[in-house]
Amino acid sequence: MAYSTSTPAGQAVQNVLNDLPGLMAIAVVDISSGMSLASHTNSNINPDTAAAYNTEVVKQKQKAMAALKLQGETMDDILITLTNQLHLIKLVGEGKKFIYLVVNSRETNLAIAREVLRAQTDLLK
Amino acid sequence: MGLFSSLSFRKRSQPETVAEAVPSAEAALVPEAAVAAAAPGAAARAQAEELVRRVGQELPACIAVAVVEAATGTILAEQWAGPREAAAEVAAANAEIVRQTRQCLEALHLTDTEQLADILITLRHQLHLLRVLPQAGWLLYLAIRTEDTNPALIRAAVQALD
Repeated sequence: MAYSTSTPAGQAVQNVLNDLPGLMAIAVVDISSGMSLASHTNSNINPDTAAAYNTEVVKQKQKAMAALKLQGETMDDILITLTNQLHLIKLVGEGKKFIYLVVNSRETNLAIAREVLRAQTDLLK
Repeated sequence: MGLFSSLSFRKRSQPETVAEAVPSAEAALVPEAAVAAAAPGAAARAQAEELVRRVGQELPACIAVAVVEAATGTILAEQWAGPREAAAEVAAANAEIVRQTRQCLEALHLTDTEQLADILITLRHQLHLLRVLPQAGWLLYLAIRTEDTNPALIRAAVQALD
């Protein structure tokens, strides 16, 4: 287990694991470094590797939003739908961090995954 | 979001666009798959225009719809109500998002069993969808106001394109 429940990030990982024991991978990621503050996996997905790539995805989208000059707009989340998996990136802490969650799409849908992550946003402010 | 969302679609004159890009009548006879793989020719552009038109029909509230070449981020066809000068940059950034996501799947060794279907980005007032089209190397980008639709509806509409 790559987390300690004495930190907010570790506590968030633990809370999500409690809600979704069948999740495939989870991480709380710091966007400025692309590194996980806390992570856990129940599969062969390495959440720390994913963290680095997903940080770039978030930055690219922020660039696209800047080009559109959208006013009063913030990014809530990014959902990546694969053949059998959902990868959800939920922005938290005023866009400085994100929670990354991988679930099997047969077991968990978008609504459930979002609900579980939303419950952690206050903890990670 | 005021300016961006209050504008309506700029209608494109389809026959004109096709006419100026057609070097010879042969282009229209090339099989679809070959066209999609080659540099965007007239037939490919016509096909892309048709996809954009169908999405516009399914989801009339869209702020922007574009068919984009994934490798280059080049727009093949679009209906765009946002700032015109931003279109190319936005398409390129979104193509880059798809490229990064695919790299991520490779780094995670998922490509044997998993394929990217789509990427849905939820903003406070807008939904942006990036969908991998069956045509080799094409992406669909669409932006729509959150209040006008929901993710399940968008997905149903774009799945109808396959």
